[in-house]
Amino acid sequence: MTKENQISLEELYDRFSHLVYRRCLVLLGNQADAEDALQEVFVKACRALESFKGESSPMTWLYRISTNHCLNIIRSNKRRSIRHQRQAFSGDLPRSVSSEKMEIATMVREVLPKFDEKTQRMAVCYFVDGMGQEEIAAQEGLSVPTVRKRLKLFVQKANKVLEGRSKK
Amino acid sequence: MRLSLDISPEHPAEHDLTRFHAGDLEKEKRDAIQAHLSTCDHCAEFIRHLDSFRQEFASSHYRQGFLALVRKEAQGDFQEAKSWWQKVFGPSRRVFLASSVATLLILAVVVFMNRNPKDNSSSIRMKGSEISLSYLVMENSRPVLAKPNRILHPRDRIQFRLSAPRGGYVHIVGVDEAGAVTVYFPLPGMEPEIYPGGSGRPVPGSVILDDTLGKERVFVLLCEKPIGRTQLEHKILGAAKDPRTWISRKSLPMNCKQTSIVLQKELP
Repeated sequence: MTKENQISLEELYDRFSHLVYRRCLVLLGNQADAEDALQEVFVKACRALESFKGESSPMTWLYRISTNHCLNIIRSNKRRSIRHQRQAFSGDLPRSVSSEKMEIATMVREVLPKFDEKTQRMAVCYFVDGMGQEEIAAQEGLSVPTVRKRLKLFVQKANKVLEGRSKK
Repeated sequence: MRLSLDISPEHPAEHDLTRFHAGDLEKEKRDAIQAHLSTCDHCAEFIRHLDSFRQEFASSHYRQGFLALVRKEAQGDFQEAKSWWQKVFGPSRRVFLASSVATLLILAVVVFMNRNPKDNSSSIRMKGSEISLSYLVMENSRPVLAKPNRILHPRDRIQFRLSAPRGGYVHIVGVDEAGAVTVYFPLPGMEPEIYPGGSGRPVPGSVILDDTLGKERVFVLLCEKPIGRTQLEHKILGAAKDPRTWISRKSLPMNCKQTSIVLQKELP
């Protein structure tokens, strides 16, 4: 990306901050964590802005930073207490996030720590962002059949874990 | 409800709709989605919801304060890391890695040698390294430990309790939904005091809550050096033009160990 068309922090904020916040809200399940995550994501983006070469779109880049950040939080919350994972969302949900979507995100969040980092990222992109398998494959540098296979395994194992928990 | 890989083929991927809304799509896809939106109420409504969420977000977030804070934090950490790196290890990455490994080995030896520390009250270490803040509420003249999400009332008397693995200067400061900043500790006229560290240790002095209702975020900072009341207030007011934004934050931009809790005040 040349200096002339390099994106500024202001532009990132104006175009994507609400989307990053919405995504953190869905992934983390509460407003306070989402606000903190938004700030952290922008601090990281601000530090890396000069090295952003535009290989991916700004939104994809920002989403990747937020995925890594939120997954770190989910993993550290898992270490602290499983209750946090199951915590239902309390507060105002954006109308663009359906209750079904939120339920799926809660289920995904609950089982994420059981998978490797790559599968975690893929599951978030697929179930939380509604990204297509082709796009995930391109992002992760994998073939589409590999992505499909790993997501299928994720679904099988996740449903097994969730069923086991609901029986307890 | 079960997770499933099935996705409706009738609609574009949600991620593409989101990128369309943000103006982040390449022309071909943008045109395809534009055409789809003219015939699909379901997807058009999703885009409308994103548009209205953008407006709600803009009205509830203070852009200038946020960006100033982000820049400050990004720059501050970078400078700190750079000087530390250059002073200790120089510019070579290999030297840095070798030095890191050596440092870790030395630390491991030190930790191993101190597995059974002598009984010395000035060097108490607690399990875990986090600090936590809780509070007691006076109920029928008896202090009762408040449960999370407890609803408080005006005129309730509370006393904060701090758990921290190490000592330091304690500062407790709250920001309510109206943007009012209250320094709870040190109390007015009190000299900064070193907290010795420990588990659930009450912070001196109690507080009678005023009549302001709603949420208040209370931050506790455990610092190596004392911070004056004015400086503390100034930091909060200066970091964001609208101090109400701190209600949703968990930490203040200060180089201290810190945590925060939310107090919820309602009428009885």
